[in-house]
Amino acid sequence: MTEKKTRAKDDKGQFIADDPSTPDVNEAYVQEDKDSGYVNTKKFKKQTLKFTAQGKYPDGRKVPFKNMKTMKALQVDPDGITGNIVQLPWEATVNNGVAGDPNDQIGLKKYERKGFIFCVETDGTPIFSTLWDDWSEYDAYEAKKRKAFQGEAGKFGANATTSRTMAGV
Amino acid sequence: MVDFTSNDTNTTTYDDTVYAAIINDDILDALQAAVVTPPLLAMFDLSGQPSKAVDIPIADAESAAAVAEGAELANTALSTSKATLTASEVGIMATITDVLDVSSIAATRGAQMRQMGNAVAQKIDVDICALLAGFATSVGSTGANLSLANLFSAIYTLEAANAPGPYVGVLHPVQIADLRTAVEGSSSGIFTGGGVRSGAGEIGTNEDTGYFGNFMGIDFYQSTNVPTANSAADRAGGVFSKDYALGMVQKWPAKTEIMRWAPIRGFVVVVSSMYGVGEIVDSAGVEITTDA
Repeated sequence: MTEKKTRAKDDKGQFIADDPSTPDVNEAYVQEDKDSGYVNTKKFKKQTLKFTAQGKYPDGRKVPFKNMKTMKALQVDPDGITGNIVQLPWEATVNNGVAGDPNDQIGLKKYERKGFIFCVETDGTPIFSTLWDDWSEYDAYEAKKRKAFQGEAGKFGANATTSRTMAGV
Repeated sequence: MVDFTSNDTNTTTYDDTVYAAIINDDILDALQAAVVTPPLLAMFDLSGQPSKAVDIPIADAESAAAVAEGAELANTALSTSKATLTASEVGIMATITDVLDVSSIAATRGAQMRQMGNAVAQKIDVDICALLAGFATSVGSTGANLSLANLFSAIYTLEAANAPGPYVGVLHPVQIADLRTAVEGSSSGIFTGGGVRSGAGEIGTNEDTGYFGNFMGIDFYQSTNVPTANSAADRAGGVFSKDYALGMVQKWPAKTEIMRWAPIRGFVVVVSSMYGVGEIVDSAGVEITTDA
């Protein structure tokens, strides 16, 4: 989808040019309020979590799909919760040194030891989407999205002999 | 007067002789981030080894103490810890029909291979960039642009932790833009001297490879694969010890295999790699979270 931006005009109705001295702001377009892209908020550990629309950045751009699962977590330093929320890799591949531990195949325990507090409900359900760079609320949308990209298990995959079925060799 | 404008012969009336469009001989690659991070990690090759994981022992720091003359020293039990990196598979498969293969321009096959190879390369880069947010120490403030003070704080944190050099930085382009602006706006003599070039348009002219330049002795790379933080309000990049803080284990690099699959009258292309990335020493890296 193409995002529509509005060209900025001055008092005389003429287009305004971009100011090269401010590389992070394009004055040629009407500046959107950075907070306008959030659709919902929620309190968690006295922090306000802000949710974007599904698959969208706050400025309306589409989040590119990356086939990677993440878990959003609060950062903690010696003074307490910093207010920063980051997304941490949640896959066996990106293991942070502990994926070899059978009790932690998804590699999140080390983050807990560092002090990160995962944004999850009491029953363990993630609060944020687990899709890369997607800060929307967790729901069935992402399960559908993930399935669409992963596809069905192939004919050759059924009953394949793997390192899991043939352990100990 | 003859009416020359009526019933003229043009590409609409004579449309059976005109191609709708000439397809260019080459296919442009998708715009993607340059894959910059793998050379910054300690590499462990497990090809041919009977395991999927590698343990990296890390010696714990011990301390010596003064001892009085004639006094017997007490034993110190030396200890180690370890980091484990485990490899797993990443892949992409496409089944390409014969009809497409024999009916498309010559460059199609190469473009398809590049599309799939790039997908695996991007996955590796995304996995590595995601590790930056896992460093326990963080500098920068949410909603605030990256400042020189943020960088100096990150460097000091690494030096105070005795993290070995050289340090490297991986930041999002918006953070690099902040850095340019901060350098340009600084009146400190060091930035106007010969050591560091100043000016928004001068630093980092080799962006197509993701390399930004050397600043304060640190090689900085930029990538759009650097993840967002704080509900996409910020970006979480980082500075860390090269070949030390983060590691990568590899069973096999990206390889392409083609299988003929007659029932569908086509061929199956599989590009796969088996690798794992992870953090080895947490205190040898600092996350830099600043405004997106």
